Amino acid sequence: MKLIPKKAPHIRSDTNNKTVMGDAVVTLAALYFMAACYYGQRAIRLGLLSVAVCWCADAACVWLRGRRVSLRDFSPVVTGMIIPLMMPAGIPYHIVVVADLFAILIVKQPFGGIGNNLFNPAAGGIAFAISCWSAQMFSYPLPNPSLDIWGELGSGVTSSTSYTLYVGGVPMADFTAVLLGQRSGPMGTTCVLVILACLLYLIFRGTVRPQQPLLLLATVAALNFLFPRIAAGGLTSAFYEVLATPVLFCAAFMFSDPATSPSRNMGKAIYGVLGGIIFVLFSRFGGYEQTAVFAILLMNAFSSAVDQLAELYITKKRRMRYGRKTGIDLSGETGFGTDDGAAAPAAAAEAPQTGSPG
Amino acid sequence: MPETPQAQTAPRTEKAPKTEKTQKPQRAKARWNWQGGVMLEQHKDPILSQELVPFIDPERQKVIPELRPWDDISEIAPEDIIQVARLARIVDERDGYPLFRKLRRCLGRRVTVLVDALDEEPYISSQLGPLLHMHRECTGGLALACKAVSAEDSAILVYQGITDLDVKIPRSIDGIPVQRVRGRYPSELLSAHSLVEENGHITLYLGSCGLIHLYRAVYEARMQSTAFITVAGNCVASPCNMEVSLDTTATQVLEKCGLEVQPTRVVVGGSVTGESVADTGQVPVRATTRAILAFQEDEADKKFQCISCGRCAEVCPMGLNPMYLYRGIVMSLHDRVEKLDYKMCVGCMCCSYVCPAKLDIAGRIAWYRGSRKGGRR
Repeated sequence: MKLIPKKAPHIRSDTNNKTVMGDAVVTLAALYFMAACYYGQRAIRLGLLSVAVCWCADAACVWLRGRRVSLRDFSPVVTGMIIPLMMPAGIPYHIVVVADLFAILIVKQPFGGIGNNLFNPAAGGIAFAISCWSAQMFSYPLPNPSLDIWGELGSGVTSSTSYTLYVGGVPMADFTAVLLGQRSGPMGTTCVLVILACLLYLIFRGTVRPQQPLLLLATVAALNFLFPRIAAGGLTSAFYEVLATPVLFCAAFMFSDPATSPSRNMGKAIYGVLGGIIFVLFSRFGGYEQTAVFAILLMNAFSSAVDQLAELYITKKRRMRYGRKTGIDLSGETGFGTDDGAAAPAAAAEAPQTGSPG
Repeated sequence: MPETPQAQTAPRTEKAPKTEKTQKPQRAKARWNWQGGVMLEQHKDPILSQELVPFIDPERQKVIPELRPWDDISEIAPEDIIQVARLARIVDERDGYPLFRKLRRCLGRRVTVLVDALDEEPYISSQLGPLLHMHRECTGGLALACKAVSAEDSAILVYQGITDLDVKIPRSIDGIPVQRVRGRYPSELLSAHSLVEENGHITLYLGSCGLIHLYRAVYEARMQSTAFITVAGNCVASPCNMEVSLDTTATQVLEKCGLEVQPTRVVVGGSVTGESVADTGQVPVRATTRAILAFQEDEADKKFQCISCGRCAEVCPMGLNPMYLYRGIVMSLHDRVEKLDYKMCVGCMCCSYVCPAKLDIAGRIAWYRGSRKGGRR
């Protein structure tokens, strides 16, 4: 039987890039469903437009680099889905398009595309939109399923809980409203219960390593508990800072992006804690009410350094651990030879056995 | 012959069942301690539950000339056991070394003998199957080996991660305690040292099939002329464990078991680390052959781009960072690859197995290692 030899391993895990990105798409779709419930069809249209723009821009860059455009690469879809979710439902369409183009054309593709980008493309796109159109980016409509599909929304807008916290106030939203997302804010970041379920799903599927988002959230909560920025006690401050701001969404979908995270679990843990500190510092001293994306971008710059530190430590540990060679070398012990003693056992030569069948 | 890994590490084991209250100086125990690895679905049943299928050519069976078999273990001297192992040309299937040389290296030392029946790679049960179905020969061979090296203690090692079995693996076989080795793949590969010395005490690892051949050599004066292999895969009509004559070709073995569909890949060896063959008619069964697997894939290998997910670093049992190694090799950063200890790679293929981009990480590292040995860059 003639065959073409193939490389080992001959069995592979079922997980591939498509399933990894597919997990993110599934969870983001759940958030779009919630956004559609709160803001109507406009949320869906924003998402579809964003995905289309990101995918086309990504495909164009891949084609220009002389590579084959792959329909199995869902990474631009994920980027396109994340960007509108971090924006108010009433955001003008052109801002979404520009943010998408910036994310793909400036932040992602110049560095080599998927897996090579230094910064999270979605965070870059959103940061660019905040820098250019901060007024529109921070004008949030109240949850209203009959929101106009077309046109800009100039009325019925309000500030978010992030802004209340930013100016030192205590948000009015109660516990239930925060958990269910019945409050103004970026359209995909308000429904805390669904985001938590999505995060658990991603962790359970192995798409996201738990230490990174969980340590980030724990650090943010701990710092705000110890040093509350609102006059309502540490516990209330920690609750609102973690659950009533986009921190939870960012931790689940942007901060845990594998391409911009350390590769080692130890590095991920350090990265999570450092990220939490940077998040809190940006929220205290940043110039905007929503600074999570800027904190992510800054942390992305440190990702490689954190990974190198973890690698140095693990290399040292590994060399210490495996330095001793305890096995006895048998490499010369091959063949049966003829000089290994008598040709046959004495017992066989003299046949001293009793009762052997012979 | 399998490559000896650079360092000895090792799977943690359960506590051996307490068979007696008397304290022994050192309990037979596999002393491994490592992290990483992957849990693999084993796919060992129904093969393991079935009897072994003989596929033996009588003309290839040989007896040891001028040797009269013994009847009782008390009649044979330790040095004679070693000599019989040499005359019978018994090769230990776990490492490919002649059995008599392994035994001879332990003479005059404090020795513990451990029987390797781990079979942790999916589909393969060519050590565990003979152990369960021919336990009398196996434990008899173990008794002979223990006598040859004056072993203080012995035990049988079985992989604990096999969960889909219909047969129950006993806690002891013919009075020999069975240790369940915990841990993830590749615990067997990491224990590739056949002799491990610690504080003047030697742990000798012997394959279960080699012990069966030792039993036959001593009590039946038979030379090793067969090997125990697993024939499996999604193309095989009747997957089974088989005792097959040496030098039988893979084509003959597959014809014996029948093929439901034409395979696109035939693997000799393990399902993870085995070798894909080009012509099954040219591949004979050797003493170290553990399995012949026939697979048909639905679609061609699809490769993606690395997304730096770090799964390879997480599963590497040697604590390496295969992602950095792969990138360093692709970009010809020799100093960087050197610092990342590429020589420590044991070739377990865990990184390639888990890689969601389906990259040939382990293959690339092995290639680099080979090219550096050959002096090419």
